Amino acid sequence: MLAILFLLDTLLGHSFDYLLSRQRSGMFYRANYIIKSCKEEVLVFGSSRASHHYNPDILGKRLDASFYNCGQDAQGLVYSCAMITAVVNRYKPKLVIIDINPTEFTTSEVGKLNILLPYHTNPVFQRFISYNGKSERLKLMSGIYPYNSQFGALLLGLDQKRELSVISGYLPLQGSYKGGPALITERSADIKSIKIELLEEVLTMLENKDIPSLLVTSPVYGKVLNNVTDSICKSLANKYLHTSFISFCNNNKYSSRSLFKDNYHLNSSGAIVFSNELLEEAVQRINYN
Amino acid sequence: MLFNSFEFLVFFPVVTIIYFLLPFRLRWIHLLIFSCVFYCFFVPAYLFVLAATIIIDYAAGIFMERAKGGIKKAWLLFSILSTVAILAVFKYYNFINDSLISVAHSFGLEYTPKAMSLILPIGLSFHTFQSLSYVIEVYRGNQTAERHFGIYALYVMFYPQLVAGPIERPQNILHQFRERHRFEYANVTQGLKLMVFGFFKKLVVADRLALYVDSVYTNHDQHNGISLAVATILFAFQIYCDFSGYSDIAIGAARVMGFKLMTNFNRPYFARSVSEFWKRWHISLSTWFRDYVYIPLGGNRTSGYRVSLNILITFCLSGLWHGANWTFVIWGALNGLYLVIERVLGKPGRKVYGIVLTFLLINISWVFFRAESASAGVSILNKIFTQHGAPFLGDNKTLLYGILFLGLLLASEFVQEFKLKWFGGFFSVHQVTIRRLSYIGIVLIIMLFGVLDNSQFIYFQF
Repeated sequence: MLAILFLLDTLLGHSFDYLLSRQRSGMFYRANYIIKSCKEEVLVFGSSRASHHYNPDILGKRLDASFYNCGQDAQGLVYSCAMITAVVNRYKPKLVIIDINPTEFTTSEVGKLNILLPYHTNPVFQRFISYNGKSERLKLMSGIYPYNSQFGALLLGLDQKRELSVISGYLPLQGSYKGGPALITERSADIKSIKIELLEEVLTMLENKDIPSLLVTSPVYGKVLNNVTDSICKSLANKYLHTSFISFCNNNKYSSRSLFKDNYHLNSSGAIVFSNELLEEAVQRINYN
Repeated sequence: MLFNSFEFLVFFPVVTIIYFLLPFRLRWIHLLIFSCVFYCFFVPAYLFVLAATIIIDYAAGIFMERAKGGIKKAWLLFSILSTVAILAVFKYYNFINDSLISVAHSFGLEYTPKAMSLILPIGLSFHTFQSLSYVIEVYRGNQTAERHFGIYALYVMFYPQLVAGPIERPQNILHQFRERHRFEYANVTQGLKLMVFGFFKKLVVADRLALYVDSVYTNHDQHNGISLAVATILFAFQIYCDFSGYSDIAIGAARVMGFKLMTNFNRPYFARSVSEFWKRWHISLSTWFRDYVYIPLGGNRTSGYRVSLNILITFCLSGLWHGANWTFVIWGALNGLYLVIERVLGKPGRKVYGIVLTFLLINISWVFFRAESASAGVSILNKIFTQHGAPFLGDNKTLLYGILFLGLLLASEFVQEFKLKWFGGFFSVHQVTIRRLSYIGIVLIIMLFGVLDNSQFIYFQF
């Protein structure tokens, strides 16, 4: 029985590898694109908030540069750091924007790096994958494990039509939020120092390659109390010469729920307002050529 | 150590293989050492708390057996009070203080005792109750006091049931540590089968449903009644699959080594009445409360009013056992109330009607079990009955996978419950090949669709 299980695991693993290489839409299609072929000058990295907030039509055109939104649902800073490393190893973008979640440094991402797992053989990702735990490399000996919970996404990713609504990685959200504002409280005791270290490594790498970077905490519908994450970003921006930081947390301009799809995500109208405002702020702070 | 961790995947076969290779006289030492190792994966320092309970109850058992009359009773009281005191300090100190502060404030008084920042030792309520059942049974003369300290320590610390039960009785398990278990193919296959089912319940169903339930209940004020109703129903299945999954893995792991632990769940959501539900849900705890609280209070042998009171007291205590929060007391009280009403009005007549009604009633009580506070529970129930709209769907795969595999599990339980032999079923067919392939299929489903992020079992917090 163990032999059959091993055989099936290997066979299914290879089948999923094949499906991964045939993706034409969805998260794996975009991940393949970012890792292997993107060449855009301005890139934004982050979670679902990045993918729904940064409108390429506004940012790309006004910066007079090609733009790609590398944001990914249900991922966070560790995923962003891994992707930035993969991209910068290939070419030198003009500007890297990193969208930071409002509780980025007080929230763990252990066990949430599932999108990176299918790429575990890529040496760039191995140290980021180890963030999931010491036993992760042993688990990855299985052919199926890297594709855990991704079967549906792999199948849907074969359909090219699903990518039609995506604009250079940007996924606009429609509809307005009907609920109340969120009250988010960060605790200094919850700081995940490993995430700060990873970001520092990435910022150092960008600095060494003369690539300017911009840390942004995009708007939230609600209040963030004891904003630990913003404080850390501020200190990092002071530490690195080519790094700037802009915070939109607790910004009164975003106190209308008509700009949001939910507490943490701007809708398409909100994304337009935000992208324009970000641009105004960014051109004052970033010196990019 | 969590059963759903990678460490356990290594720990279990290593401990089992060494167990069978060792001579019989060394096996208890081996099991005791590795039970300590298992526990040390949580907070090692709390081994001392466990040791204190073990030493007190071991000594009390021996002294009680020698003593007679009042002295015997005094030893029992000493043992119960000191064991419960340990539980009270770690679990209820802050709860009692918070409750006293609320009462004082409502009378306009100032009362500010010092709060303790102690982490509850994992599984404390479980091994405390297992230890108590030993001293009570020794006091009653149903069990001889265990002279071998190591064997007694193993009775409390046996790793499969150390942190979340089943809460065993000494009559069932103590003698098994003295038996010479040989490697038996039937035990191994039965045990592994149970473990695979347990992992399926926990990783594929419970942890998947938890993703939806947690996102709705954590922000319950931002969700409508339909989403809250869906989350509540899914929570009913989440907690069932989480806890019965744990029990299956525990019973299975013990069975592989030849130990027979008691059944803890028996398809509870097919119960036709609330009283039947409690004969099928967390059986080891229900029978514990029946034998050591309800019956000593007078049980059914008193007047109608007194029986109702006994039921309510027993269920409120059961609620309090689950957690130091009024939500658990309300949960217990509601279940007690259902039983009292059922005694007065009788059980539902029709089978399907009874199953549906029982399920709905139990779901109402689960709202308080899951809610963060009593007021949140009331607000959630209020929304369920008044605020309607489109349900929150969350991540597509959460509901799709969760409901798909829950359906598969319920279909399998339906076949077992109603003994639909004509349905066959992969797991009972005689063709060995098909049966084995079906197990391989389940393992592949776990690897492919399970939530493999080492999430804790719900009952570990108790």
